[in-house]
Amino acid sequence: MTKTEFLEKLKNQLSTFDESEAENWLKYYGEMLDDRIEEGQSEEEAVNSLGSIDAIIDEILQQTPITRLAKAKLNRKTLRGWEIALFIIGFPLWFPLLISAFAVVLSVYVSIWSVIISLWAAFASVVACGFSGIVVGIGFIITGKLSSGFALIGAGLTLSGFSIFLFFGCKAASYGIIWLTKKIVLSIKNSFIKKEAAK
Amino acid sequence: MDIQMKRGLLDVAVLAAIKNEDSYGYQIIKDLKPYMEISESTLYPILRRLEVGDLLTVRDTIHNGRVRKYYHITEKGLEKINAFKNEWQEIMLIYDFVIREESGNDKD
Repeated sequence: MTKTEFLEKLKNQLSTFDESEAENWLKYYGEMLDDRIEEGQSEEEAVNSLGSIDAIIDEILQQTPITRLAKAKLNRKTLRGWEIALFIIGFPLWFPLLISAFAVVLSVYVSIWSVIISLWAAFASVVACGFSGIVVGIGFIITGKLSSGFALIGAGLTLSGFSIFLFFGCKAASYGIIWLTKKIVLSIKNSFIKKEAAK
Repeated sequence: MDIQMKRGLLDVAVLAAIKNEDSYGYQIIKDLKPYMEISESTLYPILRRLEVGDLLTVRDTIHNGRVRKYYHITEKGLEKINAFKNEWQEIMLIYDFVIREESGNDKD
Protein backbone atom coordinates (compact mmCIF):
# COMPACT_ATOMS: atom_id res chain seq x y z
CA MET A 1 0.00 0.00 0.00
CA THR A 2 1.31 3.45 -0.85
CA LYS A 3 1.14 6.43 1.48
CA THR A 4 -1.70 8.01 -0.49
CA GLU A 5 -3.71 4.79 -0.47
CA PHE A 6 -3.19 4.44 3.27
CA LEU A 7 -4.30 8.00 4.03
CA GLU A 8 -7.27 7.64 1.67
CA LYS A 9 -8.40 4.48 3.49
CA LEU A 10 -7.95 6.08 6.88
CA LYS A 11 -9.93 9.09 5.72
CA ASN A 12 -12.82 6.86 4.64
CA GLN A 13 -12.84 5.10 7.97
CA LEU A 14 -12.85 8.39 9.85
CA SER A 15 -15.59 9.90 7.70
CA THR A 16 -18.06 9.99 10.60
CA PHE A 17 -15.60 11.76 12.84
CA ASP A 18 -15.77 15.44 13.53
CA GLU A 19 -14.09 16.97 10.46
CA SER A 20 -11.28 18.82 12.20
CA GLU A 21 -10.54 15.86 14.42
CA ALA A 22 -10.28 13.49 11.44
CA GLU A 23 -8.07 16.07 9.74
CA ASN A 24 -5.76 16.12 12.77
CA TRP A 25 -5.36 12.34 12.76
CA LEU A 26 -4.65 12.35 9.00
CA LYS A 27 -2.03 15.11 9.28
CA TYR A 28 -0.42 13.26 12.15
CA TYR A 29 -0.15 9.97 10.25
CA GLY A 30 0.98 11.81 7.12
CA GLU A 31 3.83 13.40 9.05
CA MET A 32 4.76 10.03 10.59
CA LEU A 33 4.96 8.44 7.15
CA ASP A 34 6.95 11.33 5.65
CA ASP A 35 9.47 11.12 8.48
CA ARG A 36 9.93 7.40 7.96
CA ILE A 37 10.29 7.77 4.19
CA GLU A 38 12.79 10.60 4.68
CA GLU A 39 14.83 8.25 6.85
CA GLY A 40 15.18 5.85 3.92
CA GLN A 41 12.19 3.50 4.29
CA SER A 42 10.12 2.74 1.21
CA GLU A 43 6.48 3.87 1.23
CA GLU A 44 5.46 0.24 1.61
CA GLU A 45 7.72 -0.31 4.62
CA ALA A 46 6.63 2.94 6.24
CA VAL A 47 2.94 2.06 5.89
CA ASN A 48 3.51 -1.48 7.15
CA SER A 49 5.35 -0.27 10.24
CA LEU A 50 2.21 1.58 11.36
CA GLY A 51 0.26 -1.69 11.58
CA SER A 52 -3.07 -2.59 10.00
CA ILE A 53 -5.73 0.08 9.41
CA ASP A 54 -8.23 -1.93 11.44
CA ALA A 55 -5.88 -2.01 14.44
CA ILE A 56 -5.30 1.74 14.10
CA ILE A 57 -9.04 2.42 13.91
CA ASP A 58 -9.63 0.23 16.96
CA GLU A 59 -7.06 2.21 18.90
CA ILE A 60 -8.46 5.55 17.76
CA LEU A 61 -11.93 4.40 18.82
CA GLN A 62 -10.71 3.33 22.22
CA GLN A 63 -9.25 6.78 22.71
CA THR A 64 -12.41 8.59 21.60
CA PRO A 65 -15.29 8.92 24.08
CA ILE A 66 -18.51 7.31 22.85
CA THR A 67 -20.47 10.56 23.30
CA ARG A 68 -18.18 12.38 20.89
CA LEU A 69 -18.60 9.64 18.28
CA ALA A 70 -22.38 9.87 18.52
CA LYS A 71 -22.35 13.67 18.40
CA ALA A 72 -20.09 13.75 15.34
CA LYS A 73 -22.40 11.35 13.57
CA LEU A 74 -25.48 13.45 14.34
CA ASN A 75 -23.79 16.64 13.19
CA ARG A 76 -22.86 15.08 9.88
CA LYS A 77 -26.39 14.14 9.04
CA THR A 78 -28.45 16.94 7.50
CA LEU A 79 -32.16 16.25 7.77
CA ARG A 80 -34.53 17.12 4.95
CA GLY A 81 -37.96 18.66 5.59
CA TRP A 82 -39.95 15.48 5.10
CA GLU A 83 -37.52 13.56 7.25
CA ILE A 84 -38.16 15.97 10.09
CA ALA A 85 -41.93 15.69 9.54
CA LEU A 86 -41.71 11.91 9.56
CA PHE A 87 -39.57 12.10 12.65
CA ILE A 88 -42.25 14.08 14.50
CA ILE A 89 -45.27 12.13 13.19
CA GLY A 90 -43.56 8.85 13.89
CA PHE A 91 -42.79 9.83 17.46
CA PRO A 92 -45.52 7.65 19.08
CA LEU A 93 -44.08 4.73 17.16
CA TRP A 94 -40.34 5.07 17.39
CA PHE A 95 -40.11 6.46 20.88
CA PRO A 96 -41.62 3.40 22.63
CA LEU A 97 -39.58 1.17 20.30
CA LEU A 98 -36.42 3.00 21.22
CA ILE A 99 -37.22 2.77 24.92
CA SER A 100 -38.00 -0.93 24.69
CA ALA A 101 -34.84 -1.65 22.68
CA PHE A 102 -32.85 0.18 25.32
CA ALA A 103 -34.69 -1.72 28.08
CA VAL A 104 -33.97 -5.06 26.40
CA VAL A 105 -30.26 -4.31 26.13
CA LEU A 106 -30.18 -3.09 29.71
CA SER A 107 -32.05 -6.12 31.04
CA VAL A 108 -29.75 -8.54 29.22
CA TYR A 109 -26.81 -6.78 30.76
CA VAL A 110 -28.38 -6.71 34.22
CA SER A 111 -29.23 -10.41 34.02
CA ILE A 112 -25.68 -11.29 33.08
CA TRP A 113 -24.48 -9.43 36.13
CA SER A 114 -27.11 -11.02 38.34
CA VAL A 115 -25.81 -14.43 37.31
CA ILE A 116 -22.38 -13.32 38.46
CA ILE A 117 -23.72 -11.93 41.72
CA SER A 118 -25.71 -15.10 42.43
CA LEU A 119 -22.65 -17.22 41.68
CA TRP A 120 -20.72 -15.27 44.30
CA ALA A 121 -23.68 -15.49 46.69
CA ALA A 122 -23.73 -19.27 46.22
CA PHE A 123 -20.01 -19.30 46.92
CA ALA A 124 -20.49 -17.24 50.09
CA SER A 125 -23.27 -19.52 51.34
CA VAL A 126 -21.20 -22.66 50.74
CA VAL A 127 -18.35 -21.11 52.69
CA ALA A 128 -20.74 -20.13 55.48
CA CYS A 129 -22.29 -23.63 55.60
CA GLY A 130 -18.88 -25.28 55.64
CA PHE A 131 -17.68 -23.03 58.44
CA SER A 132 -20.80 -23.37 60.56
CA GLY A 133 -20.85 -27.14 59.99
CA ILE A 134 -17.39 -27.40 61.52
CA VAL A 135 -18.21 -25.06 64.42
CA VAL A 136 -21.52 -26.76 65.29
CA GLY A 137 -19.89 -30.19 64.83
CA ILE A 138 -17.24 -29.28 67.40
CA GLY A 139 -20.04 -28.08 69.69
CA PHE A 140 -21.81 -31.47 69.35
CA ILE A 141 -18.63 -33.37 70.15
CA ILE A 142 -18.05 -31.27 73.27
CA THR A 143 -21.60 -31.98 74.47
CA GLY A 144 -21.06 -35.70 73.88
CA LYS A 145 -23.03 -36.29 70.66
CA LEU A 146 -20.04 -37.84 68.94
CA SER A 147 -21.53 -39.38 65.81
CA SER A 148 -23.59 -36.30 64.82
CA GLY A 149 -20.60 -34.12 65.59
CA PHE A 150 -18.25 -36.03 63.29
CA ALA A 151 -20.87 -36.16 60.55
CA LEU A 152 -21.28 -32.38 60.72
CA ILE A 153 -17.55 -31.72 60.71
CA GLY A 154 -17.17 -34.05 57.72
CA ALA A 155 -19.91 -32.24 55.84
CA GLY A 156 -18.35 -28.90 56.75
CA LEU A 157 -14.94 -29.93 55.44
CA THR A 158 -16.47 -31.26 52.21
CA LEU A 159 -18.26 -27.96 51.64
CA SER A 160 -15.10 -25.98 52.38
CA GLY A 161 -13.21 -28.05 49.81
CA PHE A 162 -16.01 -27.57 47.31
CA SER A 163 -15.93 -23.81 47.86
CA ILE A 164 -12.33 -23.66 46.63
CA PHE A 165 -13.39 -25.02 43.25
CA LEU A 166 -16.37 -22.69 43.24
CA PHE A 167 -14.10 -19.71 43.91
CA PHE A 168 -12.04 -20.32 40.78
CA GLY A 169 -15.19 -20.81 38.73
CA CYS A 170 -16.69 -17.54 39.98
CA LYS A 171 -13.45 -15.68 39.34
CA ALA A 172 -13.20 -16.96 35.77
CA ALA A 173 -16.84 -16.06 35.10
CA SER A 174 -16.34 -12.53 36.45
CA TYR A 175 -13.27 -11.97 34.28
CA GLY A 176 -15.20 -13.32 31.31
CA ILE A 177 -17.97 -10.78 31.83
CA ILE A 178 -15.55 -7.89 32.13
CA TRP A 179 -13.86 -8.99 28.91
CA LEU A 180 -17.25 -9.30 27.21
CA THR A 181 -18.24 -5.80 28.36
CA LYS A 182 -15.11 -4.30 26.80
CA LYS A 183 -15.80 -6.13 23.54
CA ILE A 184 -19.40 -4.89 23.49
CA VAL A 185 -18.35 -1.27 24.04
CA LEU A 186 -15.78 -1.50 21.25
CA SER A 187 -18.27 -3.04 18.85
CA ILE A 188 -20.81 -0.30 19.64
CA LYS A 189 -18.13 2.27 18.86
CA ASN A 190 -17.26 0.37 15.68
CA SER A 191 -20.86 0.57 14.55
CA PHE A 192 -20.48 4.33 14.35
CA ILE A 193 -17.83 4.18 11.65
CA LYS A 194 -18.00 0.90 9.75
CA LYS A 195 -21.53 1.58 8.43
CA GLU A 196 -20.55 4.91 6.92
CA ALA A 197 -17.35 3.59 5.43
CA ALA A 198 -19.26 0.81 3.68
CA LYS A 199 -21.53 3.27 1.85
CA MET B 1 1.82 -3.45 33.26
CA ASP B 2 -1.30 -1.97 34.81
CA ILE B 3 -2.99 0.36 32.27
CA GLN B 4 -3.44 3.35 34.58
CA MET B 5 0.17 3.09 35.70
CA LYS B 6 1.44 2.80 32.14
CA ARG B 7 -0.62 5.81 31.12
CA GLY B 8 0.94 7.97 33.82
CA LEU B 9 4.42 6.73 32.95
CA LEU B 10 3.93 7.42 29.24
CA ASP B 11 2.92 11.02 29.95
CA VAL B 12 6.13 11.66 31.87
CA ALA B 13 8.27 9.73 29.37
CA VAL B 14 6.96 11.85 26.50
CA LEU B 15 7.64 15.03 28.49
CA ALA B 16 11.16 13.80 29.21
CA ALA B 17 11.70 13.15 25.49
CA ILE B 18 11.11 16.85 24.73
CA LYS B 19 12.70 18.23 27.88
CA ASN B 20 16.16 19.11 26.56
CA GLU B 21 15.15 20.12 23.08
CA ASP B 22 11.94 20.37 21.09
CA SER B 23 11.10 17.19 19.24
CA TYR B 24 8.58 15.78 16.75
CA GLY B 25 6.36 12.71 16.70
CA TYR B 26 8.57 10.17 14.97
CA GLN B 27 11.65 11.24 16.92
CA ILE B 28 9.78 10.84 20.22
CA ILE B 29 8.74 7.32 19.26
CA LYS B 30 12.30 6.44 18.29
CA ASP B 31 13.65 7.87 21.56
CA LEU B 32 11.19 5.93 23.70
CA LYS B 33 11.36 2.66 21.79
CA PRO B 34 14.25 1.07 23.74
CA TYR B 35 12.37 1.67 27.00
CA MET B 36 8.70 1.15 26.32
CA GLU B 37 6.34 -0.14 23.67
CA ILE B 38 4.55 2.86 22.16
CA SER B 39 2.68 3.00 18.88
CA GLU B 40 1.73 6.05 16.80
CA SER B 41 -1.90 5.74 17.75
CA THR B 42 -0.99 5.70 21.44
CA LEU B 43 1.32 8.69 21.21
CA TYR B 44 -1.12 11.03 19.53
CA PRO B 45 -3.75 11.13 22.31
CA ILE B 46 -0.97 11.62 24.85
CA LEU B 47 0.38 14.63 22.96
CA ARG B 48 -3.14 16.05 22.70
CA ARG B 49 -3.80 15.49 26.39
CA LEU B 50 -0.51 17.15 27.34
CA GLU B 51 -1.26 20.07 25.02
CA VAL B 52 -4.74 20.60 26.45
CA GLY B 53 -3.27 20.42 29.95
CA ASP B 54 -0.70 23.14 29.08
CA LEU B 55 2.19 20.76 29.72
CA LEU B 56 3.53 21.34 26.22
CA THR B 57 2.98 23.64 23.26
CA VAL B 58 2.90 22.72 19.57
CA ARG B 59 4.37 24.69 16.70
CA ASP B 60 4.25 23.99 12.99
CA THR B 61 7.58 24.21 11.22
CA ILE B 62 8.36 23.78 7.55
CA HIS B 63 10.74 20.91 7.00
CA ASN B 64 11.70 19.86 3.44
CA GLY B 65 8.68 21.63 2.05
CA ARG B 66 6.16 20.00 4.39
CA VAL B 67 4.77 20.72 7.81
CA ARG B 68 6.27 19.04 10.81
CA LYS B 69 4.88 19.62 14.30
CA TYR B 70 7.42 20.32 17.01
CA TYR B 71 6.53 19.91 20.67
CA HIS B 72 7.93 22.23 23.31
CA ILE B 73 7.76 21.59 27.05
CA THR B 74 6.21 24.28 29.26
CA GLU B 75 6.97 25.31 32.83
CA LYS B 76 4.05 23.15 33.95
CA GLY B 77 5.50 20.22 32.02
CA LEU B 78 8.83 20.58 33.81
CA GLU B 79 7.00 20.68 37.15
CA LYS B 80 5.25 17.45 36.21
CA ILE B 81 8.60 15.73 35.66
CA ASN B 82 9.83 16.92 39.04
CA ALA B 83 6.64 15.79 40.76
CA PHE B 84 7.13 12.39 39.14
CA LYS B 85 10.70 12.15 40.45
CA ASN B 86 9.55 12.91 43.99
CA GLU B 87 6.69 10.45 43.80
CA TRP B 88 9.01 7.83 42.47
CA GLN B 89 11.22 8.03 45.56
CA GLU B 90 8.21 7.11 47.68
CA ILE B 91 7.47 4.23 45.34
CA MET B 92 11.08 3.05 45.53
CA LEU B 93 10.84 2.95 49.34
CA ILE B 94 7.81 0.67 49.06
CA TYR B 95 9.60 -1.38 46.41
CA ASP B 96 12.59 -1.88 48.71
CA PHE B 97 10.25 -2.98 51.49
CA VAL B 98 8.49 -5.48 49.21
CA ILE B 99 11.78 -6.95 47.99
CA ARG B 100 13.19 -7.17 51.53
CA GLU B 101 10.10 -8.99 52.82
CA GLU B 102 10.26 -11.40 49.88
CA SER B 103 13.88 -12.35 50.43
CA GLY B 104 13.23 -12.57 54.19
CA ASN B 105 10.48 -15.13 53.59
CA ASP B 106 12.68 -17.15 51.27
CA LYS B 107 15.15 -17.83 54.05
CA ASP B 108 12.47 -19.44 56.23
